[in-house]
Amino acid sequence: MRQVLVTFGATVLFFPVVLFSWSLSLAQVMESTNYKIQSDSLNTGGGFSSSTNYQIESTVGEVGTGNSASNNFEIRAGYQQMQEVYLSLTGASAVVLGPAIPGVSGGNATGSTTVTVTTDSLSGYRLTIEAVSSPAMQSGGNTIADYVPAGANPDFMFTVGSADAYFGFSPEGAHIANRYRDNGGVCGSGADTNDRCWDGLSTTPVTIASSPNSNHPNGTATKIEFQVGVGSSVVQPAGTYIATTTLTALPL
Amino acid sequence: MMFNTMLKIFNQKPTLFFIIWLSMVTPLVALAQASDSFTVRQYISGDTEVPTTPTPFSVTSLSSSQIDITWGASTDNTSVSGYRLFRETEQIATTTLLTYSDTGLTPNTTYTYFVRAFDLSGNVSSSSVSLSATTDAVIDDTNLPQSSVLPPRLTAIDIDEGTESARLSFAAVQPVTYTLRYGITDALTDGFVQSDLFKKEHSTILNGLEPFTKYLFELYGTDRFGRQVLLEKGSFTTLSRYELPPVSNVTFFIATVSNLDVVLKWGNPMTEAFAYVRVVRNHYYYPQYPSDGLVIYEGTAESLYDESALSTYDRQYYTVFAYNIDGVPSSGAIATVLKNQVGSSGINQTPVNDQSVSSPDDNETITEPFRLTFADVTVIQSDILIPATAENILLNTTAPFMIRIPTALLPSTTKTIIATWQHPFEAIKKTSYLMKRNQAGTFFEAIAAPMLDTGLYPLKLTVFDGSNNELGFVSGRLELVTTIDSQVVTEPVSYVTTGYIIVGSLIGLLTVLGTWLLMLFLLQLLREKKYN
Repeated sequence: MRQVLVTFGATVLFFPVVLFSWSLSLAQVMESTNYKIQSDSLNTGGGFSSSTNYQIESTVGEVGTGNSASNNFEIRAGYQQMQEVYLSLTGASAVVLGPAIPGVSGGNATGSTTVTVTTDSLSGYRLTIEAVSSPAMQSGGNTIADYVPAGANPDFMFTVGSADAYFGFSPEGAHIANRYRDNGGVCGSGADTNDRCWDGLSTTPVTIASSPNSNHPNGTATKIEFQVGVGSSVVQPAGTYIATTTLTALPL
Repeated sequence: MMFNTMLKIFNQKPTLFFIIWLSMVTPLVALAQASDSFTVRQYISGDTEVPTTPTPFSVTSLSSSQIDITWGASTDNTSVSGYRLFRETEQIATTTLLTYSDTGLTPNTTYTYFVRAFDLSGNVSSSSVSLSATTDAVIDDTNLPQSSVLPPRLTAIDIDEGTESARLSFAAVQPVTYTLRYGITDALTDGFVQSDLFKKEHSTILNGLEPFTKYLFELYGTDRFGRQVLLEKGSFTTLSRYELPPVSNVTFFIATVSNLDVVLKWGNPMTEAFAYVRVVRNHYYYPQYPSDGLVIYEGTAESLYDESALSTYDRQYYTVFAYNIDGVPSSGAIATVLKNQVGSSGINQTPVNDQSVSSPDDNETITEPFRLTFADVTVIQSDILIPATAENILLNTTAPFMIRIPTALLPSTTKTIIATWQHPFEAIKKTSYLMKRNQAGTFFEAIAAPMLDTGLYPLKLTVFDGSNNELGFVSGRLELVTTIDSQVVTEPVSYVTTGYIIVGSLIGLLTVLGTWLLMLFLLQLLREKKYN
C-alpha cells in the first residue's frame, strides 16, 4: 500500500512537470530549475507535500469549475478561473507593397507591419508566421514563388536573379529568433540588422520571435518586413497578388 | 472517500486513472494562443511606360533658409500621379504641384535638387537635371550696402469680401514673408495671420468674420534681409447675409490610388463668387457636410496628394465642398478609393450597393413604394426651369445648372441622394454629387458647373435611407448642346428662392413691429406731455 501511495504521489507530482515541459500555457507561480507551475490543484484531497526539489501546500480542490454565461451574467466558477494567462497579439494590419512593379521590366517592392505581443506568462511567448497557401503570393492562376534562402539560414540580402520572382520576409525586433539575427554578413546569430536575413513563407509555422520572460504590460514589438522582387527578364503577368498570412502568439 | 476511489482506480487501472486525472487538470493547461491573419498585396502592372522627364527645372534661393524649386509638367501614356523631389539623394517631398519651397535650410549652404515624375503603375521617370542653389548668408539691413535692393513694397492687393470671410491676396516686388493683423477696432485684435514662406504672391482667407462689418487691417512684409515694412493699411466690409447663392460643385472630382497614397484631382468653379474648396475625408462614409470628417485641404488648388491615406484603412471617402465668398458651401462632390485598386478601377466608384453612403441612423427601415421617375427630375439653368423628357434633359454647355428632385415624390425615409453622370467620351470623367435638401425642404438639389463638351451624359440618381439602404434609382441622360430650342423651356424661376423669401418675410415683420412700437412710444410721449 505504501508503495502504491508513493507511486501515486510521484505520478501526481511529476506528471505536470512532463506536461509543462511541452511549453503549454501556464503562468507560473512556482518554479525550480526544471519546471514552473502556475497553479497547482489537487482536485482530491489536499494538504502539504514535498520532495527534494519542491513543496506544495494544496487545498481541497474543485470539480465542476469553468465558465458559464447567459445574457444577464457570466460566471467563472473556481478560484483558478481568475488566474488566466494574459496574452495579446495586436497591430497586425494589411500590407500593400510599394511601388507597383511593372510586370515587364521588373523591380522590387517592400512593405511591413508591426505587431506587439504582450503576455504575463512568466516563461514568455513564441510568435510564429505561416502562409495560407503555397506559394503564398497568388493572383488567380499566377503566382510569385516563396523566397528560398541559399542555405539553411535566411539570406543576409534579398537576392533575386534576373530570371526569378520571389516573395520573402524579414522580422525585426528585440525578440527575433536567432535564425534572423546576423553578424554583419551571415544570418543565424548575432544582432538584429534592419532589412537583413530574408526568408520565405511556408504553410508550416515558423518561429520568428520568442522570449523566455513575461513582458507585461508593455509588450514587445516585432516588425515583419515583406519584399517582392521581379527580375528584369521575367514577364510577370499583371494583377493584384495577395498572400494571406497568419501570425500566432503562444504563451510558453 | 473520493481519494480512496481514485487510489483504487490508480492501483487497478492506471490508464483509466490518467485519463480521469488529465481531464481534471486539462482546464489548467489549455492553450491561450492568439492569432491574427492579414494580407500582403503586390500590384504588378502591365504598364511599363515611364513618364517623361520633368523639364525645365530651376532652383532659386529666396532667403537664408529657403530655396524654391520649380519644374515643368511631365506626360505619360496613362496619367502622371505626381512628382518626387530630392535634395542631394534624399526624397524631401511628393507633390502633384509643379513648385516646392524647401524651408528650414542652413544659411550660406549649397543644396542640390532633382525631381522625378511617377505614374499610377509605379513607373518613375528619369531624373531631371540636378541643379544647385546656395542659401543667402545672414545679412541684415545694418550691413546692407546702400545701393542694394529697395525695401519691399506692394505691386497689387485684392480683397474679396464674403459674409463671414474674406480672401486677401497681394503681390510684392520681391519675395517676402508677411504678417496680417485685423480687427473691428484700431487695436486690430480680432485676427492675426503670419506666413514664414518667402513668396512674391500671397493669399489668405480670413474666416469667422461678422456679416456686414467693417474690418481694419495692417499688412507687414519682411524681405530676405529681415527688413519689415508696412505694406498696406486699410479696411474692408463683409457682405450682409444671403447676398450670394452657393457656387457650383467642383467638376470631375477624381480619386486614384497610388500604393498607400491617394491622388485627388478636380476642377474649381469658374466664377468670381468662388472662394475656395474644402476637402474632407472619412473612412466610414461620404462626408455629408464640411465638418463631417477630417479636413485635409482648404485652398484654391485643383489637385492634392493625400499621402499614406490608405495606410490604416482600406477605404477612404472624400467630399469636396466649394465655397462662395460668403462662406456658403456647395452640396459636395464625392469620390471613394479602395486600397490596392490602381488606375481606373479606383476612380470615383458610384456608391450603389455601397453600405457606407452616410452616417447610419438608428431608424427602422420602412418599406415604401419607390414612385420617382426620371420625368420627375428637373433642372434649372440660367433661371429657366427645364423638365426632363422620358429619357433626356436638354442643357446648354455654357452655364451652370441645378438638378433637383421634389421631396414629395421620395420615400419618407430618404436621407441621401447621389447624382452621378459620365462624360460622353472620356470614361475617366465621372462626376458624383451629393444632393442636399433645400431650406424649405421641398427639393433635393445640387449645383453643377457648366459641362463644356456637347453630347449625351448618362445620368443616374440613387436614393438612400438613413441606414444606407438603396431605396431606388432613376436613370436617364443629360443632353448637352450649344443652343437650346426655346420650346423646351417652360417656366422662368428664381435661382435661389427660399433664403430670400425667409429673409424678406422677417424684414417685413420686423418693419411692421418697429413701426407699431414707434407709434406707441410717440403716443406715450404725447400723453405725458399733455398731463404735464
